[in-house]
Amino acid sequence: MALPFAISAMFLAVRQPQGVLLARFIIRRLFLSLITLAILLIIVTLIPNIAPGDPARKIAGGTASPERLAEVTESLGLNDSVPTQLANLAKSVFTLDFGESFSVAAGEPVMDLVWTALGNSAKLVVFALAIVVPLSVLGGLIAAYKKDTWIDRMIVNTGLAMSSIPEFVAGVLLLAFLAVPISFFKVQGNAPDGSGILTQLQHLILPALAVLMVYFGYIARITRAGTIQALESDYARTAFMRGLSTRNVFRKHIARNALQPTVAVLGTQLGYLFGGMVGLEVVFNYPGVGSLIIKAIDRADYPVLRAGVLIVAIIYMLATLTADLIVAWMNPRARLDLGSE
Amino acid sequence: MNWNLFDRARRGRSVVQVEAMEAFQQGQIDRRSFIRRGTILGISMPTMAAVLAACGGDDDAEPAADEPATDEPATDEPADEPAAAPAAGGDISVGIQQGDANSGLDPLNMLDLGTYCVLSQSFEYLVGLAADGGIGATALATGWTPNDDASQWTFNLREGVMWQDGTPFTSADVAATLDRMAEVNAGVGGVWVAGSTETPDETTVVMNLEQPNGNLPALVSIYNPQSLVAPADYVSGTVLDDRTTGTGAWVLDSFDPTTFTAKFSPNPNWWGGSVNLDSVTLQGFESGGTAIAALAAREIDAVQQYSVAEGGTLLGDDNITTLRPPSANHRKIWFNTQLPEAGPFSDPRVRQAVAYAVNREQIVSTVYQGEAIVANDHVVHPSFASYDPTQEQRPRDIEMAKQLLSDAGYGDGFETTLDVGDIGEVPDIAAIVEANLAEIGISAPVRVTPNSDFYGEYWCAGATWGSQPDTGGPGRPCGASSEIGIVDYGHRPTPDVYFARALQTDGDWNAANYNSAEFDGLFSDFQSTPDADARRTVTGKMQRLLSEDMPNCVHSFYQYLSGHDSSVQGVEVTALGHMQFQKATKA
Repeated sequence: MALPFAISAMFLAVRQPQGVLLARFIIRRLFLSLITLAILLIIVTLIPNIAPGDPARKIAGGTASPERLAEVTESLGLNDSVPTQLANLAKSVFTLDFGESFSVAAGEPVMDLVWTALGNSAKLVVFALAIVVPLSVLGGLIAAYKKDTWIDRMIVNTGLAMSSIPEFVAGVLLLAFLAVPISFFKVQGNAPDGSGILTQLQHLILPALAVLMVYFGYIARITRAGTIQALESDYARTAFMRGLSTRNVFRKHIARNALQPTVAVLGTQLGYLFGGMVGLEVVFNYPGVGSLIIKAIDRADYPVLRAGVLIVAIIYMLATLTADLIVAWMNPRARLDLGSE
Repeated sequence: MNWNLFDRARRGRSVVQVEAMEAFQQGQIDRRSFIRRGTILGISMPTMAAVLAACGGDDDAEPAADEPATDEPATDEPADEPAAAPAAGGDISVGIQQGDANSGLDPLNMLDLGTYCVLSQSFEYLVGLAADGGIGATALATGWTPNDDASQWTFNLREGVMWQDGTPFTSADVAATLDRMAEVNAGVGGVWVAGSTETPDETTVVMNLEQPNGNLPALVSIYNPQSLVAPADYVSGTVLDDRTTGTGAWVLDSFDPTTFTAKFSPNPNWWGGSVNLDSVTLQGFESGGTAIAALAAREIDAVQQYSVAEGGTLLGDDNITTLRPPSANHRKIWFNTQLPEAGPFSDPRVRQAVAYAVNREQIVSTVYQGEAIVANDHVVHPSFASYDPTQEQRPRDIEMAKQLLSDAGYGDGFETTLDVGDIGEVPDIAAIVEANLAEIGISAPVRVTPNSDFYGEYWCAGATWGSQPDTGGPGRPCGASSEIGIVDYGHRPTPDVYFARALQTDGDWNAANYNSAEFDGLFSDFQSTPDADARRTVTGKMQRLLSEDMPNCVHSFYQYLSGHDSSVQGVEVTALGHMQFQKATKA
C-alpha cells in the first residue's frame, strides 16, 4: 500500500511547486497540532477531577471551614460539568486568560506568572543551546572524522558517561567544584534584579554547563552517526574524488546531511528543556516554567498548572514543527516528502 | 541573705511576682530560671538585680535598666575575635525557607519559618526578644504586670510608635490583634476570648483572662509567631504585600511570591531610631543545600537555618559565624490516636512499642551529629523552668516493644505509611524510624511530600474524625491526619503553645487527635499555677501522662543553627526562624 501512495506523492510533488507543498505541510501539521492540543485539553481538564485528594482542601488548607471549601471549589469551576470545564479551558487557551493564581502567587494573573517563568526558561534554554549545540555538533563531527581512533572513543565515552549523570546531580557537582571555590561561577541561576546581560549570562553558566553535560553525549553521538553515514555515501566519495578539500566536503555536502537527525532531535528536546528541567531549576534556585508547574502541582493551583502545561505543550509542538521545516530546508528529498506525509 | 533588700524588692509586687522571688530565695529555682521567670512575670531588671543581690549571687551580671543589653544572643563567635568595625550602610541578602504561599504573607495564618522571618521585619510583637534569647521588653510593650493571681495582665505600650502609613499606634491596635487571635484560636484557646481586652488609655492594655496564666507574656511574644501586632482595621486574611504596613524597622518594598523574595528598606519613622543597613533582602530557597552553597560562595550573607547534614561544612568555616539560639526544636512522631477506628495506633501499647523501638541515640549521633539531645516522649525541654528531671528516660528495648505489640494483638506486625515533609533532616529521621520499626515487624515505608503540601494534606488535614454521622461531633481540626508521621516544631520558651495547640483536645495542631480529659485538666492547672514547685509537680504529671498515653514520640531536641558571613555583625535570631537586623552591620 505504501508504494502507490509514494508514487502518487511523487507525481503530486512533480506537478506542484514546492511552496504549495510546504504550505500544505504546514497546514496539515497545524491541524494535527490542534488535535494534540484538544487531547491535552481533555487531560488537563480532567486532572483536578481525578487527582487524589480534594483540590479545594489543598488550596484552602487543612483547617478551612466548609464555607471556604465550597467557595474555592466554586472558584476552581469544579461544580461545573466536565464538558463545561473543557469549554471554559478552551476559551482560556484562545484568550490567554487563565484567571488568577490560587496558591502559587495568590491573586496574581496566571499568565503574568507563566510569561515571567517562560521568559526565564527561554533565557536559560537559548543560552544553554548556544553552548550545547556547537560543542556537541563539533564533537560529533570530529568523532566521525576520527572514527575508531582514541579521539572518537574519548568523545563518545566521555559524552556517554556525562549523559548518565542526572542533570540535577550534575548541577550539584558543578556547585561543589566550581561555584563554591571560584567566585566567577554563581550558585544561583537568577541574577539580581537590574543586572546587565553579562551578569545574567554569568549566572546562567553553570545551569548551561549542566545541560551540556547531559546533552553533549546524546547530540554528539547522533551527529557522529549521521556524519559517518554521510561520509560513507556516494556523493561524499564523489566529492573527495573530485578533489574538494575536506573542509569543503564537510561544509557543502556532509554537514547539511549529517545534521538533519540532530535538528530533529533538538526539536523534540526543546519542549523538555522548557518544562522538564525541574531538578536543575531547584538546584540553581531558578524560577523557570518547570518549577512553576511543580509548585502548581504541590499547591493544587490548577489554573497555573493548566496554563503552564498547555504553554509548554504549544512550545513543544512549535519546536517540532520548526525542526521539520528546517530539515526540509536542509534536504531537498525531505521537501519532496512533505507532500506525501 | 540581705532581708532588708529582699523586702524592699518584694514591696508592692503582685503575688505571683513575690512567689517567684521567694522560689529563688528558697532555692527552688536557680538564678537563670529566676531571671527567665521574672522576665515573663514582668519583674523589672533592677528589681531582679536587687533580689539577686539580697540572696547573694548577683554580682557577675547586674542589669541596670529595663532594657536588656544589646549583645548578640546565642552566638558561638569567639569572644576574643576582633569584631569588624561597625559601618553604616550596606545591603544584606539572606537565604530563607520558601514560605507557604497558601497562607501568603498573612500575619495571623502563617505556618512556616520563611513567612515568620518575612513578616517580623515589618510587624512587631507586643513582647520581644531578650538578649539571652528569652523574652524581653524590646518590642511594643515596655513592661507588663500581672494581678495577684495572674488572671489579669496590664501591658504598658511604647509611646511615639507610628504605623508606616503615618497613623499612631495605640492600644486599640493591640486589642484588635488579641481579638483576632482569639477568633482563630491562634494558640490561645481558653486563655482569653475576643472582646475581653480593655484599653483604659492609648498606651495601656489590660488583658482579662479566662483563668489565671503565669506564662501569658510568652503567648503574646515573638515565640508565638502569629501574635504579630497589626492595625485595628487589619482584617484576618490580609497579606502584607497587599497592604504594606507595620511598626517595625523595615518597610516592604517588593515581594515576589513565586521566588518568595522580599526586599525591605529602613523605616525612617521607626521608634528605635535609624538602622545601619540600607536594605535587607530575604530570598526563598527551595533547596537548603543551594542556600548553603550560596552562602559558602558568598552570594548571600546569611542563611536563616541549616541542618548539620546539609551544612556541616559551614561549622568548620572560620569565616562563618554560627548562631545557636535557645532551642527546644523537635521533630516529633505523631500517631493518629483516633483514625482509622480500631486501627493499630488507636492502642497506646502500639504507640509505646514504637517509642521503645526508636533508636534515639542513633538519631542524635548520625542525623544531628551530636547537635541534639535525647528526649523522653514529651515536649518539655530540660531548660524549661517547670521541667521535672525525675522522670526516668525511656530506654531502647526491642523485646519490650515486641511484647507490647503482641499484647495489643499485633504480634505479627502490620503495615502502615510514615508520612513526612521534605524539610531539613526529617526524611533522614524517617529512614531511621522505618528501619527501627522493621525490627519489631512494623512495615512503615516513608512517604516524603513537599513541605508546602504536607501540612494541609497529611498533617492536620481535614476534620473527618468527629464530624462523621456516627459520632455527630463538631469535627476535629486535625481529624484526618495520617496514621503516623513526623512534624517539625520550632522553639518556644515555655511549653504552653506545645500543650495548647498540639496536645490539648481540639488543639488546631493536634495531629494525634489526642483526646484526654486528664491532660486537659493538668494543662489547665499548669497555666493557672503560679507557684514554681507546684508548677513543676504538674508538669511532671503531664510528662508521665504523655509518656504513658504516647500521642507523640518525641525522640530528640535538636540545636537550631543559623549562619552568616563574619563580615556581618549584630544579627539576632530565634530558633523559630526570626532574624532581626535592627542592630546589624556589614563591614
